[in-house]
Amino acid sequence: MNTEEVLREGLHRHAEQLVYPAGDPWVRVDRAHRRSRAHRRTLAAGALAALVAGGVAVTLTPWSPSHGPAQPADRSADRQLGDLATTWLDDGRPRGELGDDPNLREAAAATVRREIAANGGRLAENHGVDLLYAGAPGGSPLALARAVTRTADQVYWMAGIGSTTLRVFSTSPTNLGAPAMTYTDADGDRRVLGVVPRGGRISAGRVTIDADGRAHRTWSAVRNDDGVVDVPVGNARTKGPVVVRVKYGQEVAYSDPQGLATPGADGVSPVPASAAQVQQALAGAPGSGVEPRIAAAAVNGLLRAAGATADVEQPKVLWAGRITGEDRIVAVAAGLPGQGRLLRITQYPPGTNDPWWTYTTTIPAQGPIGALGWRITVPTGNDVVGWLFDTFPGSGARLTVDGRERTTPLHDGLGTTEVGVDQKVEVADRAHGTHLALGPEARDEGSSPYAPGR
Amino acid sequence: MKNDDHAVQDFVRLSWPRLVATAYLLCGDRHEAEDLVQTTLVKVVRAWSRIERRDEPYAYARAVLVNTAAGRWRRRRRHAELTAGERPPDPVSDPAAGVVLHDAVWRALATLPPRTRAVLVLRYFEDYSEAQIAATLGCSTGAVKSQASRGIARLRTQLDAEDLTMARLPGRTS
Repeated sequence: MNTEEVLREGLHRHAEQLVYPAGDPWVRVDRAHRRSRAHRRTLAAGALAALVAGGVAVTLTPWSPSHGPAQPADRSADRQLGDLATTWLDDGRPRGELGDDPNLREAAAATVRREIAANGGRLAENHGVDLLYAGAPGGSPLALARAVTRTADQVYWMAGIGSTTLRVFSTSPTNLGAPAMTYTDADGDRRVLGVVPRGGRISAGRVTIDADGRAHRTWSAVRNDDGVVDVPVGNARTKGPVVVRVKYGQEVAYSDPQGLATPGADGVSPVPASAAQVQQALAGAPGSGVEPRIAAAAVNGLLRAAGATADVEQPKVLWAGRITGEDRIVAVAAGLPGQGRLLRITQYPPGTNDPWWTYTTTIPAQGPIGALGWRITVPTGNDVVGWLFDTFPGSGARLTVDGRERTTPLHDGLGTTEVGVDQKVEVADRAHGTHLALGPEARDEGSSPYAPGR
Repeated sequence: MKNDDHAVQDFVRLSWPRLVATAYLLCGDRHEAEDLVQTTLVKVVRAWSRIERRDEPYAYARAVLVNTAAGRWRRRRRHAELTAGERPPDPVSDPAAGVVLHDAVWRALATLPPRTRAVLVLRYFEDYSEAQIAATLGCSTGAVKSQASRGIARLRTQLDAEDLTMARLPGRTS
């Protein structure tokens, strides 16, 4: 018996000896599914904040480009910060000028309870709904409350609808530390309101991108008004987007504002693009094309990445199509007023608009991008390298991995491949004499506008 | 999608044992295997309206399972070998010879990197072709071949090191 046969038999015998417990697996899965619906909104909000907090231009999602939605990162350091962040947020004294209003407190608690119930959840034993902030910075009520359910510890942003009703617009994990919300003030200007630790040192970070595509981040101190900060968002004059940074003792937390601008069904997307905008963005894009929902996911992903900037210029899809198998890649760029452009490249597995990986960088405000390469680590422990030539050399690109030529399809100038983290990759566009060296030392995190610049 | 959809309920019930077996071989821990399958099937339930039309829900579920397991491996890299050294479950009934084989293969498999282990499980338990494995893992067939080859070679070395020749097992011939 050879090794393969031994292995085959060993695996089957091993599996056959599993004893399955009594009980209907459907009941277990259905119960978990109901719990996950409540969880998913948290993850949607958390993923964006984690992108900012982690300072990386990569959304880590499961292994294969074939299938699977995103997974949250699991970092022990975050858990330590999370414990402290929960304490500093929920310190027993609601912030804001309406924090002592019993009617608003009751309305907020009822709204959160309804939200939890609507998502199939229940408050954890011995837990209620804690009001963290209540005020009316833009003239109508805005409230933040914390609730611990059986599956999650979350904060809920609520805004007033009319004079008596609150509605949940956004949820995020409590342990991210400094929930922030964009609102429109009485003069029509958009601002960011952040709920932060009392006594913490708060800064607002703004990203500016030169016309040549180089990103710069500047941090400026913001007044901490007993646990609340209030700063204008970026626009053509003040630049943007804004990230709130909290320093409290030895801990540092970053928060990306959630948008209140468009109270849509999911309450998370700050500026969902219309179908017409998506179509306009897609016009003339190279590549084999993608279905509208994937294009919309990519465009909205870019708009979310642009954060609280109100004046993001019309997004433009630079490439959209299928690569190996059923996977789709979409590269979208959008200008930030008076600045360069933000470019976001995302690979979507089939059957989902949850990305496998996302790469974000900056490019010049005008003109061609020339040759762009990227390299990111994915959950397999391997790296994905990719390249995009906007001169479309057809099959003229040559890829070498550790000096050995590798054949990888090139689609209208775009290609990707998975390599080991220690392997050296070079891509040469023989037609145009362009050459990209992609690591393993080649990382582009420093150019990301979301590198927090600690 | 309504959760009372009989098709998805039937699929969950029918696929559960097989997926748990695959998950167990991938991760080496019974409880984690069930957790992985639960997570996998929640994703399947969520996407049911899409994948049902593709008429291959089991293949989809299996791919999601492998991906989900891979995501966990990645996050655990700093705490490696969490499951690699675990013993297999106590056999329900097995003659001594089978236990020897069983344990030796299991121990050898547990020494392999997760991805190599996944390649071998898909190849020799799920009977995937190299192309199917490549599609599932998102790599080239060449990479699958080399991982499988390295994995088998390492298994052979491990089994040799334990001086486990199949000829010594009662009821077997080499």
